[in-house]
Amino acid sequence: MLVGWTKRCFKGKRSLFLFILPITLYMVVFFLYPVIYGIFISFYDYSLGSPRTFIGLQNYVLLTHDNQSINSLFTTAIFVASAVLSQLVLGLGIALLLNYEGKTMNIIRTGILLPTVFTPLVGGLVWKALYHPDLGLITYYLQALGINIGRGLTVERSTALFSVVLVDIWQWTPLMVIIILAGLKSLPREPYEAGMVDGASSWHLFQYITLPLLRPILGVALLIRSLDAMKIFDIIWAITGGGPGTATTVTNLRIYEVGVQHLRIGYASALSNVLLVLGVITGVLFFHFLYSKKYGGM
Amino acid sequence: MTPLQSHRLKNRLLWGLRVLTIGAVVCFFLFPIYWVFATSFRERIDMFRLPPQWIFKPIWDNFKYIFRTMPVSQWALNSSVISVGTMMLSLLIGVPAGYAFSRVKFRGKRVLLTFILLTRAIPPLVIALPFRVMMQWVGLFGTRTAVILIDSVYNAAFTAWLMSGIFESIPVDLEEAALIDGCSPIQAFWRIALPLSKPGLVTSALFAFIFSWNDFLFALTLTSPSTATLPLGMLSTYGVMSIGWTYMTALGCIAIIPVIVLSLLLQRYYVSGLTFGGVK
Amino acid sequence: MKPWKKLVGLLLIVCFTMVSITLLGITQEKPYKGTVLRLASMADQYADYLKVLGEKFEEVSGAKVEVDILGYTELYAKITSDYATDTKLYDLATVDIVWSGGFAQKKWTVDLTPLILRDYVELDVPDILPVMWTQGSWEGKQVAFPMAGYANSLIYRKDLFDDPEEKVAFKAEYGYELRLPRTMDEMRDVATFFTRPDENLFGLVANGARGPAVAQDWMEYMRAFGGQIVDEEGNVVVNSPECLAALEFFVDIFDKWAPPGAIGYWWDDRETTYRIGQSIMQSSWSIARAGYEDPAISLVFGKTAMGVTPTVPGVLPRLGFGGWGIGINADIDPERQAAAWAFIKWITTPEIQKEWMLHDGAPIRLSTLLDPELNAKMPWLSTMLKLFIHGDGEYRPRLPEYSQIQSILGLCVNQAITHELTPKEALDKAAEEIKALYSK
Repeated sequence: MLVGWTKRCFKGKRSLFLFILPITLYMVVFFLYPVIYGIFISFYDYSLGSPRTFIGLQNYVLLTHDNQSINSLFTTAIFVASAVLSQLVLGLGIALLLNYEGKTMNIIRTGILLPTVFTPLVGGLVWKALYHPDLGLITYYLQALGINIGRGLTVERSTALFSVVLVDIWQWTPLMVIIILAGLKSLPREPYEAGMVDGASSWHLFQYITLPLLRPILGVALLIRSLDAMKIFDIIWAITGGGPGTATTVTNLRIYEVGVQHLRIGYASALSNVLLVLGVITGVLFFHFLYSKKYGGM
Repeated sequence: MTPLQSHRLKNRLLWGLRVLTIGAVVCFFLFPIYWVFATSFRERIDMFRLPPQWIFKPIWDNFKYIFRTMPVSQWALNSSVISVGTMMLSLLIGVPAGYAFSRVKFRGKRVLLTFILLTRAIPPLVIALPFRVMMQWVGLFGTRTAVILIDSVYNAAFTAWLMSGIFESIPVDLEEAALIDGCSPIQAFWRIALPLSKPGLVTSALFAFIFSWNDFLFALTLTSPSTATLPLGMLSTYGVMSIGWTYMTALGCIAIIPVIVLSLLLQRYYVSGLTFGGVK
Repeated sequence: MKPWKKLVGLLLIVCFTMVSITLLGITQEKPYKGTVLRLASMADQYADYLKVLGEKFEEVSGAKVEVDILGYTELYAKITSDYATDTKLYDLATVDIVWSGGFAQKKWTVDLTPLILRDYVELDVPDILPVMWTQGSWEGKQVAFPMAGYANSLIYRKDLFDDPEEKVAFKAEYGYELRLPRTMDEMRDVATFFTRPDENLFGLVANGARGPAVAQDWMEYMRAFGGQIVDEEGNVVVNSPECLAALEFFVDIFDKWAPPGAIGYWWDDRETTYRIGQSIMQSSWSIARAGYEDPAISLVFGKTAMGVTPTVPGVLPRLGFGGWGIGINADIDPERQAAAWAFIKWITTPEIQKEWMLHDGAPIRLSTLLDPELNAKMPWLSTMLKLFIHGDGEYRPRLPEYSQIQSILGLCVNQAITHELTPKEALDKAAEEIKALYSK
């Protein structure tokens, strides 16, 4: 809900402008410039160590023929959708489970954040060890249970992406849980009391009161997680290196391949800009969905 | 069975189910962390032994080794400096901005806010190179300051956004009263709004700290060997021919302790901090 | 002149000379005092001791060398961006043999040829095995100095090959004596014979993980079949019949003889499976040899032998050579370059090389490999010497485009072994993409 100053405090408006200044300046210098550079360099054929040549939109044209890069966009989309939706559902479920008072609950709620605060790259490497096709604990126990996992979860094309999604779920669901818990705590009591008086079951209460009231918070969590998931790199690089074949090559990994391994900075920037545009579109769609229905504006 | 008895049974079953599920959830999330701790205390050859030995005698060799041969305290110091620096800079820039966003209506605000949140949409790899060149121009390449500067880009944005939500949930009446009494808006902010927003401040600070503490990409691109951070240290044990698993996990243990301590100390703040922050 | 004045004069001259000599001596002793050099090193087994050497160098010369240990891809990324953006972050770096062409072409590291000629005697150049110079040489330039020589060989479990029961069983099944395979067909027999999944035993293992791991391992087999990536005229021949045969064999490794997880193996995984006794043969680099004898990480100490990798009939056995050279950043000031060169000279002296060998180093000198004390501790040195003498530095192409070629092969070969593509499709695709690199 928006709170505006009344006319008699217009003086306040001016001095508060000072509050906006630092962040604007900071963003322009340290953020806008690199972004503009990224756009600028995508119009060049620039191989690190050699002089660069202007080639206009050539990089983007090449991208449309580049199967690996296009596939990486699809892989990224699948990754984001499955990871983020799972985190949302699981997060909601777990939050409901833990939404009780008590010392044990407190400890569990703190402890459960550990995956999120553990260094992501190392977390990925740890899962790599657990997933190890011959010596990993996961492989060992799954095979002991008689489940056929082919040669290993991370090396079969059918299960590789899923195994990486699982690691992302492991890392970020706790954050979802905490956010949703916070939201649950702030829910007003009256609708529930009214509902119960009317004889609604707990499932109905959940469906018609909890969910709609949580919607803004779920939406924001979804937005942030989606944008972050689009940039996934650390764990995939650590666990599968993009393989087997191209099964887990997400766009950020492809950018790394092209930019750092092939040293083709211009081309990498072009792909990066495509990802950026997709991210912007996602963000804008989210904002539209979240804020225009519920509120008149910010 | 009487209806009361069956009701009690149902309740007990549900409760049992709940306990089991929570247990499974906790196992899933905490097992890899346990594995990290366990591996740090055993020999590398024992790591991959199957069937796995759950009970073993812990050894300190790995920790001794890493402290003897690696600049662990240097890494920890660098990580701390960078994290604290980012935390302070992000707060300094982001909190006032968040306040202004919530209190002042101006054109283009929605755009600016969207723009700020969309810092998260940029693949960091491509920002890294031009930022690096920029740091070279001003002679800051290889310093911890460079890392603080770029980490703050992300964290200031997040802080501004989070704090704007927090401030919006604080009723404006107190500040208006103060203004009528003759306070300047800045004083109103400093004396009234800010103290009320403590949970949000703590949350933002904590997030900024953890982001920088665990960051790997920017530290890799912008630091020199003397300013390397703990994540880079962990990566250095990951050779290609010979992975120092036990050393890596030992470092991982060391790295996570400050984070755990901080989280424990501040947990009551960030839960409520997120309540206000995300909703509106 | 009065006699006593002469005496005083003489005394003064003597004193002056003595003082000058002393002063000269003091400054000579630590010519680089106060300089701090930074070295980026690959995280291979030799790196830990390289760090120690960096500190020791201060006592000798006054210059301190700080060693930063990085993984393969991080090392490459960090030093290439350092050189390209002129940030002078690292004065020295370990240079993979295959990066020679790229570094020379882009003039990223200093051409050491004039320095080598100048200090020819001091370096005792003839003592350095000829093949070692391929670590850093390209079109007449020497952009890295030999530092750690790796020999590629077939590693196998001698104890199993010598076991009488195994010998009897093998002869009964295949009709000839069990011995180190000399041809690829014999390799197939031995690998099949020793693949017993129920006993958790596997005949032959290789890297399968997408990326440099699978590319480099495949290239070793490519050589064994007589294949090349680019022939002498510069044509791309990676899809030649020889290479195709090599890839088909390679695919068989994963289908028939390697542990199931090998399809995702990096070097350390492959070494681990050998060290715990699960796999009994692998094509590997000599740097890992000492590790097999270390009880802290190996269960097969005392059981290993090194042999020449078999080939197909008509192809001469090629003894793979690889390893790391050490290069000087071309952007840094002449004084720092001089200090860096002093460090290089120092760590490659016979005494330091011997010391290093005792701490997981890799040799470059004949004298090191012939040293009696070392040979007593590491009996495989004589085999390594033979491998080096006949070693082939062109085992893997050291072309400027190497890292891109490796990346292309890293994907195509992985797609072949996962049966996403047939071997023929995979190599045709690789050939097309490599040709595209050259047509730019």
